[in-house]
Amino acid sequence: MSACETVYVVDDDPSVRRSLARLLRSAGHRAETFASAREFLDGPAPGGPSCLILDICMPGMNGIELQETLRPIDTRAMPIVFVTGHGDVPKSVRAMKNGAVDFLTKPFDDHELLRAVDAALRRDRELRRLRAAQSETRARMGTLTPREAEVLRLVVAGLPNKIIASQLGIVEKTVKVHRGRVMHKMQAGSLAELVRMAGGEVAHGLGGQQ
Amino acid sequence: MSTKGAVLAVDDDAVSLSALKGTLTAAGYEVALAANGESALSSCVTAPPDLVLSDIRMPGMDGYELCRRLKGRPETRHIPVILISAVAEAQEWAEGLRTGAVDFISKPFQADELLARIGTHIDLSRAHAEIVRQAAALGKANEELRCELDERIQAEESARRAVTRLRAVVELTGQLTWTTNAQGEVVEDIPAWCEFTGQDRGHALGWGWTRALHPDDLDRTLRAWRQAVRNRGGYETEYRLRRKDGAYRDFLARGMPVLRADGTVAEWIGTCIDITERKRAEELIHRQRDDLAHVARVGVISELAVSLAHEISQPLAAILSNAQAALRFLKAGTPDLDEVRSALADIVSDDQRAGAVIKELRAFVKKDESRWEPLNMAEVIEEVHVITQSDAVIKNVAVDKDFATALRCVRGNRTQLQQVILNLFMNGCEAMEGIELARRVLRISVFEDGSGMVVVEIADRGRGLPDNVKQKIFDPLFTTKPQGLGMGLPIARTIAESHGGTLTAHNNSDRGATFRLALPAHGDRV
Repeated sequence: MSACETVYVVDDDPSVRRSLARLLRSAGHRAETFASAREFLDGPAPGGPSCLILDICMPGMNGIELQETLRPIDTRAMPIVFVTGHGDVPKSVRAMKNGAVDFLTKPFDDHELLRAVDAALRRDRELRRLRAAQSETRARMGTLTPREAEVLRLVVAGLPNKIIASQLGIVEKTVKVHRGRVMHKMQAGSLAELVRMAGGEVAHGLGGQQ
Repeated sequence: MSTKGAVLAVDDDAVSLSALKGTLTAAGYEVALAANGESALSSCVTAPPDLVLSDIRMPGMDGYELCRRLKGRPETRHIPVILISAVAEAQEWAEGLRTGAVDFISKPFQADELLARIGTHIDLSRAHAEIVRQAAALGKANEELRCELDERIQAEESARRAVTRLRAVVELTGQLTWTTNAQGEVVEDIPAWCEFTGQDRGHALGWGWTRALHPDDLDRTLRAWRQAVRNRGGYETEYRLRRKDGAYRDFLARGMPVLRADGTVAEWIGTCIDITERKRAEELIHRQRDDLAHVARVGVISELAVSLAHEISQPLAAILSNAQAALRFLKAGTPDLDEVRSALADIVSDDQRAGAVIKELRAFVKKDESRWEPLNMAEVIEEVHVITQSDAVIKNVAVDKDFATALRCVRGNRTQLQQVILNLFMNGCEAMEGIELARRVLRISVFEDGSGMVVVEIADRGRGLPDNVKQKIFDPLFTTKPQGLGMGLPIARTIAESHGGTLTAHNNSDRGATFRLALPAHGDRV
């Protein structure tokens, strides 16, 4: 767990807010609390991995509405653990369909909550790593020359050097040289790695002209 | 009197007659003369003298005959007759007396003697006449008295009959009648009272009747009675009276003074009527009304059950999290005791919060609710809010409170007034179902309106009251809700009115409706 991991708590009930923050602290987490969805949205975007413990029933914007507001915003979207005083089935279904990590009814056991928080933080860490990797890959792909980008595309497509050479109208040796530079620029140790790293981007039509 | 009297002298001898006249006239008598018996008789009839002085021996009617005749006629019977005789014989005297003469005088007579006798007999005659007159007058008076007595007896009799009839009529209606003297003491027989209470006639006399009153009512009744006697009016009071079988019955006693012509009190008359059944009926109505209000309260609470469960589960969840957090802190290498301490402090206050909701709830659904006390309506509203805040959140209603600061108290029953506020709150929230979320605002304000009333207004922003509904909302069993009983508002209005206040509704000028509860303020103006 890195130092800037934060668990956010949004609940209109002050007793619940305080007790949740305390429970989180007792498990070694850093907690920040907000009394309403509006307050949370007006606050700064999270710096490191984070997750949200969210009450459903609140005056003004309720929990589900906040979830739907956050989803499209990359810098703010985070895994959500819902807590509620009611056992409202339709709401729980909707929350889960929208991608919530868990849906807990008050009063809940500390293990239940902390397990869900751990899962949420894990998910967020994973997501961030993926995102970071993605942008790293894109940055590297940005350093390729157009010819190198073409070679990358065809290599990732699984074509042997000979075919690539004939497709591009260059000699096999040149292909090998380009390939070497691509591997170097992309910092891939093997073909498999290269495919893993850049496969998705290429498939989405990035980093190359068709 | 100008003359001593009128004398008729009768003699056939003119000389004697003239001598008599002289003597008598000189003595001051009015003298009439007659030469014979017949003319003397007719003279007596037409102008009765005070005395007749007559010679016995006369031709035609003699003195005896004249006397006999005079005594025989009622109009001349009373005239005393003195006979004059030339012969002083005992026989003549006896004869004369037999005829009714009062005296004799023989010739020749002494003038003094004659006048003396005449004077005496006239006096006697007059005295006699006077006696007769007085006797007649007495007899007449006696007669009149007897008539009057008869009339009075009859009047008393019919009065007695009337009183008896009246008493019987009054007692047929179940009332007891009683009378006292002007000082309020029983002096006459009060049979109906004695019959009911079983008191002896003697026991009830004076102030003895008070022994049949319930001891707790004795002081109050005596005070009221004494005051009424002092003020000569206005006696009306209730007390419990012990029946001869020992049971106490509730009575309403009324009395009024009977005034003499000069305005003083002659006596008091009164009735007592058994109102036990009426009081029982009144108590039953009160109880039933209270029962109904209670049922309505329980009904309202069941509508709130979901939000109440939520209201209590919040602090419970917080307590659990705090306790589990504290345990975790204690497990660490160096336990963070500050955290543990503040966790425990929060547990205490969260428990109290839950306890407050339960306490309000319990007080609200309790049946016994007889105490009246000074209340601050702002506080009453806050107490209701404890039960309703979750409901407001669930229904997405924002509650806007506007409480005046210098608010006087009202006097009343806390539970009942909470019931009214709760009812208006629930209605206000329901009125805004289906309205766009951002517009759901319920405004609760409390203020004094300047006319001595404390006013609570609950205004919603719903669709308002249509005319046909507005007329009927306070009618019992009228409801627009599918599950409604329709008793909430009628009961609320009854509560308002029993507190001396009003409950009304009107549509707002822009949107929604406002319900207005007005209650009389107590205490000095702030």
